[in-house]
Amino acid sequence: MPDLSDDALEQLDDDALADRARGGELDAFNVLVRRYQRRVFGLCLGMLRSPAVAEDAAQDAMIAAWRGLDGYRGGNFAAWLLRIAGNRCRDELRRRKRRPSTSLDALVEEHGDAWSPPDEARTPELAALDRESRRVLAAMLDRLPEEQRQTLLLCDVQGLAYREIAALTETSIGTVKSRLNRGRARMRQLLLESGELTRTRERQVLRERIAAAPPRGGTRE
Amino acid sequence: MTRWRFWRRGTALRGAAAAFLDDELTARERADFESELARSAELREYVDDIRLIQTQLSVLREARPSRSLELTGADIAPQTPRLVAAPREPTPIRLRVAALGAAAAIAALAAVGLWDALNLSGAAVVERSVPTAATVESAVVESEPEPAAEQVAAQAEQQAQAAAEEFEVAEAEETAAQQQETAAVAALAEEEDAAQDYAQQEQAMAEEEAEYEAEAEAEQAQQQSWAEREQQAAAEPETDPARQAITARERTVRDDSGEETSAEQAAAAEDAMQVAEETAQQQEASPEVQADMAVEEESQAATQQAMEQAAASTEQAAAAPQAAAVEQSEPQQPAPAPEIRVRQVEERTEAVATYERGWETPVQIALAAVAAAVLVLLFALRRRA
Repeated sequence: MPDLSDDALEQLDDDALADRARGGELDAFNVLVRRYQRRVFGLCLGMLRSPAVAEDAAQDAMIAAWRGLDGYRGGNFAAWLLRIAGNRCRDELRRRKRRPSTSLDALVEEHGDAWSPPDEARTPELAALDRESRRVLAAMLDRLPEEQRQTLLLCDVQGLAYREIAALTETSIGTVKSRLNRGRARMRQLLLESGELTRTRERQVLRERIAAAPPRGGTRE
Repeated sequence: MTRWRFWRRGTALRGAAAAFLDDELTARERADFESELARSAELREYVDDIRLIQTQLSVLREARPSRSLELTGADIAPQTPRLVAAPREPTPIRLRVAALGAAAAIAALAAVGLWDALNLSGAAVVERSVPTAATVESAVVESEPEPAAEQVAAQAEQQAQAAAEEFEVAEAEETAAQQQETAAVAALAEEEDAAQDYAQQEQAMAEEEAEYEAEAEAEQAQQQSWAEREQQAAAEPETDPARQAITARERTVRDDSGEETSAEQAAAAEDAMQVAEETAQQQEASPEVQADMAVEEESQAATQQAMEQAAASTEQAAAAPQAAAVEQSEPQQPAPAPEIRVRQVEERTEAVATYERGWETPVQIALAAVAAAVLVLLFALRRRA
């Protein structure tokens, strides 16, 4: 295969990049890494809650994907990559069960900003609202069973379809529907019991108003 | 009943709400759900809450790692083995038993091989130099039924060729030895014939000398008896006519043996003997005559005994040179017949072939198989452990 520049590699689709990476071209694989690293890290963070542990798990998932490229037969590279990351997270959770772990609340307090790094385009008020929402949602997710939490993250956070989730978790579509329905109902129940659901509604209304308001700088001008 | 139906219907609607929000319903299902959603305020509230949670969860999508996850050459390099090995677990009992069995089988195999080597090494060194047709046949026969690999067949073929070459050399040597032996036997036969002729001549001469001596001794004994009778006759004058006739006859016989006689005396003696015989026939013999007859028989027996002794001495004299001739013609060790030698050589070469078979003995093959099986089992168990 002829060598391509980084810009040319960025124009290739997932399967073409995977073919080049299978031939030993590390630059092509790193294009795929840059393309999906946030989704992989988001899944790991949702399952493991610790940004440092999630980064290590995501890095391990990338290395495992590089070594297992021969097993990729085309199709949805993101789903294949997220499947590897999910398996890594499950292995990490099994290890964590065998040894003492830090409480979720402590992790959320310590790494609350990991869910959303500072975004210069956002206003400080919107950033503050999102930070509070993420803290509450992370605490509620931690109380869900592992299968329901993983299914919610894959569907509502990563935006995968039922079919992709079923293939990724090696279950049926009916099981995915059931886990999603029960997980969402459980989240709603927890938010209602803690009174956070009402505050979440208020934050959502406030967020929509802030997002719809014109920028402050423009107002001055 | 109504509450249960409502709960069941509500559960179904909540399940459909998830699919509705994820856009996983068909067009007809979506239309039915929307109509139900328009009728039920509770269902609308539930759907709004779930949509709110979905919206809030989508915020988590914005998470990004603090560092890039791109791979480097060090990340994809082959992993180096750990320098510190994990602590080994104690060896299971089955592995110990398997190892012990393997060691015992190997030791038994070595002992059997050593025993065979000690028993056959000496004979093999001596007998290996005398290959015959039996060696070739045994090598060929041993190589044919072997179901082993081609190497075994090639080795057997090489052994057969070597044995055939050795057999040819040995056969040539044996032929030359037989020719030499035949020549030596012919020379010995000539010498033996000459010795036998000489012994026969010696024996004939000894027999003649013995006969002469016997005759001389017998004559001497007879003369001695005659001398004694004459002395008796001189001491007592002869009155009996028969006795006078006997004396005359003895004298006549003595004269025939060399003394001077006259024809008249001989005729007179014969007349006297006839008269004496007639008288003796007419008259019964007197005791004196019987005693003379006994003396005469005794002298004849002594004469016969002396002759027998002379004959015995003659035989001994004749047997002495014959024994010497036999000893001279007899070889140091009698050579066996050619058939016997061939049989002996075949027996020795069979012993060599048995020694060369070595590993093909049933005991050694069985022990080797047991040792191999135990080793394989040990290896499998170790890998499984």
